[in-house]
Amino acid sequence: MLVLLLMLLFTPLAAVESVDLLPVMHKGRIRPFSAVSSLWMEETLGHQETPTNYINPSILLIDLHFFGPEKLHHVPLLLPPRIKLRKELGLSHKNLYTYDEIDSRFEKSDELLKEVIAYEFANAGRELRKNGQLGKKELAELSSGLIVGMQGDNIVIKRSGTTGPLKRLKEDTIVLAEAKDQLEGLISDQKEKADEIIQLIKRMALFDLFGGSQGIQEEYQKLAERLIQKETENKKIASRLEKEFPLKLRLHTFVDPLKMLPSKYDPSDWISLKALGLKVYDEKSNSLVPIPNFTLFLDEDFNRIQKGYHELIAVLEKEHRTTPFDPLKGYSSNIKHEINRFANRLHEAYAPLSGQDLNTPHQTTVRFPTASQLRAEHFYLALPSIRALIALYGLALFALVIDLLVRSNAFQSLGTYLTFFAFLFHTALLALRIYILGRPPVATMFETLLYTPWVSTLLALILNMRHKTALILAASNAIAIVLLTLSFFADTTASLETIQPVLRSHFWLMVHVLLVVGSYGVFIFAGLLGHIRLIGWFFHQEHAEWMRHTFKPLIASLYTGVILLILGTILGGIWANMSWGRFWDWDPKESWALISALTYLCIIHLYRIKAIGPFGISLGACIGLLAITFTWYGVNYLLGSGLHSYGFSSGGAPYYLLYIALETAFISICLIRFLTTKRKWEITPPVKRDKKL
Amino acid sequence: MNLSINSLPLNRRRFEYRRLRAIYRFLGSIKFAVPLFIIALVLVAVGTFIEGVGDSHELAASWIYGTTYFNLLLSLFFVNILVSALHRIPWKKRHVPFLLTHLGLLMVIGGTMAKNLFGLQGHMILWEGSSSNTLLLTNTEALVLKEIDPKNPLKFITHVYPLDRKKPSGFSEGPYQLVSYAKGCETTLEGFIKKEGVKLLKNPFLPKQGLDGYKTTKLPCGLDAACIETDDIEAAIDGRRNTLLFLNTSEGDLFVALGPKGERFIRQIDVGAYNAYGRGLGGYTVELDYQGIKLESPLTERISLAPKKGRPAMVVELFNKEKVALAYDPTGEAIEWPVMNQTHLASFQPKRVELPETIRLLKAHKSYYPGTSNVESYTAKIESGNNVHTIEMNRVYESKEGYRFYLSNLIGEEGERKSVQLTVNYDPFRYTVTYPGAFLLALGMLLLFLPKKKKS
Repeated sequence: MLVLLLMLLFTPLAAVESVDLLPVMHKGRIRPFSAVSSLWMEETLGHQETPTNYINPSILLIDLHFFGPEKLHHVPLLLPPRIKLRKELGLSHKNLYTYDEIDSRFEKSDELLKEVIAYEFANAGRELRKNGQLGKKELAELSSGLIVGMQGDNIVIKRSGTTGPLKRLKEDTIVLAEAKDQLEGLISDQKEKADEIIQLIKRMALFDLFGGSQGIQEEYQKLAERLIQKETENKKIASRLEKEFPLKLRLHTFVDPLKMLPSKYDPSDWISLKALGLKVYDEKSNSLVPIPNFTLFLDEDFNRIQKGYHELIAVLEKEHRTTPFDPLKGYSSNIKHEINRFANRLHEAYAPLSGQDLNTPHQTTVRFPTASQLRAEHFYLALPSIRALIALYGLALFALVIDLLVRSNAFQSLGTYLTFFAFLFHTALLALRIYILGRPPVATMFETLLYTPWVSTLLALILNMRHKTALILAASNAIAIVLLTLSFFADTTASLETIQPVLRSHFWLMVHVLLVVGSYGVFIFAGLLGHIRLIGWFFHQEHAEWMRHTFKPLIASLYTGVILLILGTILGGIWANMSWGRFWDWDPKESWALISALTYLCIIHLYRIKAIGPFGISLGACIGLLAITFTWYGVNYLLGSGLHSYGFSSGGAPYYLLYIALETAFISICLIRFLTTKRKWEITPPVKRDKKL
Repeated sequence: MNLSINSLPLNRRRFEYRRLRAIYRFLGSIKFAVPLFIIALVLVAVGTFIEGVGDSHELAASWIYGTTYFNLLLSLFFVNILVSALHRIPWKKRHVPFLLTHLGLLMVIGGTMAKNLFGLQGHMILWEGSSSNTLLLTNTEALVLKEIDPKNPLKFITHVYPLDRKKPSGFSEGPYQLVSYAKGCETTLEGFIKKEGVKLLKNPFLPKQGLDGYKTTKLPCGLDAACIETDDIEAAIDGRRNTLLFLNTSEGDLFVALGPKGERFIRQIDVGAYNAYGRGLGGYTVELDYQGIKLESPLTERISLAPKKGRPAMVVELFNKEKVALAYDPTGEAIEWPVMNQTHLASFQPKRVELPETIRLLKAHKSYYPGTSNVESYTAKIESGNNVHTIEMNRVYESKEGYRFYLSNLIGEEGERKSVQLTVNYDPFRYTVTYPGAFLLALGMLLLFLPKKKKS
C-alpha cells in the first residue's frame, strides 16, 4: 500500500482540473476530456508521449475550439519529417515545427505538391483503374473538398481544397500532363518519399479542419434576414429555413472533438460546444434568437451553460488581446478558474444522466458513465500503471534471483511479498479496466496480454504455497514482465476502445474467453518451467533439489491448463452454436485450440502409461508451448482467416518465426542428446496412480 | 465373428481369441490413441494453413475436414474412446471420473459427427422485401439449369444435377458429362470493347431509393413482378429477386428493382452494370459511353485457373455436345449463362433443399458506434409464417422444425436496399447429445483433477 500511495503522490494527480473530467463522446465511447484530448493529439499530430508532457492537450484543444487553428500556426506542434525530406524542404533540425514553417517551404515548391497529388490520385485510382474507371476522385484527406480528375490525358484539379498546404493550388491547375503512361511508375518509384509527405500534409489538413466551416451558419443567417424583410407569414419563413438548412445538419457542421452535448434526438449523438453559439429563427418574435435547448440536459441547465459559454468567450478574447496564447505555458490560473467554472456547469447538467442506459433510435443503448467512472479512466490513463507493474515484477524477480544465487531466506520472502504485491496491483488494474469499460477485459490482443500474466502469477502463487522454491515465482515474474512489455507493441494508444458486435455478450466473453485465454497463461508458465528443467538436465542438475520441487508444479499446471482449455473450448462451442448457429466447424481458432489440446492430451496420456518420464513431460511442455503460441498469436497475426477475427493484425512475424526456429532447435538438441546418451532421468516423485488408467 | 471362431479347433480357437482380445485391447489403448492424436493434429494444422493461404474455408474443407479419411480418423477416435471405456468392465467407483470424461467426449464427437451426417448446413441470401424457402447447401456442388416454364413464360423451372465425381459421368443423375474440374479459379467479366480495359465486378447492385415518376402495375400472373410503362423496354424480369428491369429510356439507362409490395428502387446505369436480354437467355451486354457515342458489347466471362483460390470451376458437356465452362457461384446470385441454343441458363451452384417454411426479410439494419465506422450491431427482422423474429449477433432464430437461422453477413448502408446472408443449420439431435456430453466431460475432468490436488 505504501508504494501505491507514494506513486499516487508522485504523479501529477493533484492537478486534476474539473474540465479534464468532462464527459465527451469520442470514437463511439463517452470518455473524460483529458483522454479525448490526448487521443486527438495522437491521431492528429502523431505525437507520442514526450511532447504531451509539456503541452497540455486539453488546454490546446480548448484554445483551438475557441480561436481556430490559424492562431496556432506559429506554435511548434508538428513532428519533423525524416532527414531526406527535411533536406529537400530546406528545414533545419528541430524537435517540433510550426505549421507556418513547413507551409512556407511547401509554398516554394509547387512542383512537389503537384507530384504528391498525382501520386495519391494514381494510388487511390488503382482499384478503379482495373475496372476501367478513372474519372474523378475526392482526395479529402489531403485537403478538405479537393477533387482531382482526368481531363483528356492530364490530371487536373477539378475543385480546390480548403485545408492544409494544398489549398493554394487553384482550380484547373494541371497536376501532371500526359499522365496515362506515367501512373504506374509514379506509384512504384516514389512510394517512400510520397508516403511521408502525404502523412505530413494530411496532418496539416486535419489540423486546419479543426472546428469545421462556419459558412453554412452565415448563409443561414443571411437567408433568414432576407426572408424576415420580405416574407409576411412567419410559418413560411420557418419551414423554408428548415427545408434549406435542417437544424440537425447545422448542429453537425462542427467537427472539433469537444462533443460535450448529448443530443435529445439521439443520446449516442453528441454535439460540439460550438453549437451553443448557433442562432435560430423564432416564429413568435420573427427574429433570430440563440438556439433553444437541443440537449438531454434540463432547460435551465442548458441556459446556464449557454450563458457561461458566451461569458467564457468574452474572457478568453480579452486575454488573447493582451497576451498571445502559448500552449507551452498554458493559461493563467485566473483563466483556468473561469474554464473550470464553465466545466462545473456542464458537470452539474450531466449529473442526472450519469450511470443511465439510454436507448438510441437505432435499437442500441448508450451507457452514460458515472462521474467516478470518468475519474477512474482519467487516472488509469494518467498513471504509467503498466510500467509501474512491470517495475514491480522486475523488483520481485530481482529479489528472487538473488535468493536463487545466494540462498537467502530474507530475499526469498522479499521476492514473494513483492510478487504478491505486484499481483494485487495487477488485480486492481484489471478491476479498474472492468469498472471503466463495464465488461471483462479480454476483448483485444492488448487486453489478453494484460490478463494472461495475471493468470500465470495467480497459478504460481498458489503453487508456491506448497512447493517452496523461488524458481516458481521467478518464472511467473519473468513471464509477466515479457508479456506486459509486449502489450506496448500490441497497442500504442491507451486501448480503451469499442468492441465488435459478436463480443457484446458479457456472459460468454467471461466464460469462454477467460477460460481459454487463462489456459494460455497456465501453459506459458508450464512451458517456461519445462525449459528451465531441460536446461538444468542439460547441465547434469537432474538430481538437484529444485528439480524435484518443480516437477509437481509442472504436472499440476499442465492439468490445470488442459482443463481450462478444453472447458473453454467446449463452452466456446456452445457460444458458437448460439451466435453462429453451429457447435463446431473447423474454424482456424477452433482448430488450433483443438491442436493444442490434443498435444497436451497426448503428453498427459503418455505420462500416465509411463511411456515418458520427467524428461518427456518437460519436453512436452515446450512442444505444447509452440502450439499455444500459434493458437494465440499465429492464428490472428499469421493466418488471419476465420470467424475469430477480433484481434486480427500483423507485425512481429519475423520475431515469432525466430522463436519457432530457436525453440525447434532447442527441442531437437535435447531430444537427440536424450536418445543418444541413455542417461536415465528418474527422479519422478512417487505418484500414486491407478495402473489401469 | 464368434461363429467363425467356434468352428475352429480348440487350440486354434484360443489363439484366435487371444488375437482378437489383443486387437480389442489395442483399439482401446493409449498406444492407439497417441498416433491418432498426432495424425489428427497434423492434419488439422495443415487444414488451417490451407485456409490461411487460400483464404477459403471451403478449400480447406475439400482437402481435409470434408474428406472421407478425415471422417474415418474421427470414427477411429470414437472407437478408441468407446473401447477404452468398455474394456474396463466391470466398472468400479474409481472409474467414474474417467468414464464421465470419456463418455462426455464420445457424446461431443458423436453429436458433431451425427450433425455432419444427418444434419444440414446451408445459406440463403435475402434482399429487403424478398422471400425464399430455398436453402443452398454449403460445400456442395451441382449443375443448375433453368428453362422457361411453358405454362407460365414468366417463370423458370430449375433443374439441379448434383456433382458426383466418383461416377464416370461426373453427375449423380442427368444426361450430362463432366469434362474437367479444377479446384481453384478466378473470373473476370469483360466486354468486347476495351476502354482502358473494361472489367466489371459481378457484385449485385445496391440500388438507391430516389427517382420517381414511373407507374407500376401488377402483372395478372400472380408473380411477384410488376411492369413499367415506358416506350422502349428491353428488360429482364427475374422472379427470384422480385423484379429487376434494365431499361433504355429517353432519360438514359436505368436499373430498376421492384419489391413485392410495389416499392421501387431505381438507379442510373454507368459502366459496371449490364443489360440482360430475354432474361439472360439472349445473353448480356455492357454499355460504354465512348466520346458521347453509346456502344453496346456482349458481356463475357473469362475463367482462369488459380489453384490457391478455393473457388472451383468445371467444364460440362451438355447433351447437345455443347461444352461450357462454369465457375462456382456459392451465393446463387451471380450471372447465369445461356446454353443449348439459348433455351437454358446454366450455372455451377450449391445443391439446394426446400425448407418447410418461407423466410422473408423485412428489414436489415447495421448500427455503428457513434461517430465511428466501427459496427456496433447487425440486426435483421425476418418474417416466417405470420411471426416476425429479430436475429442479430448472439441471437439465432430457431424454427419449430429445428432449423437455426443465423445472420452471417449484411451488405448495404443506410438508405440503400440491403441484403443479408443467413446461415442455416439443422441438427436432428438438437441439444440432446452435444450439450449433455459437454456437461459430462466438464464434470469428469473436474473429478479427475480434484482428488489429485488433495494428494499433492
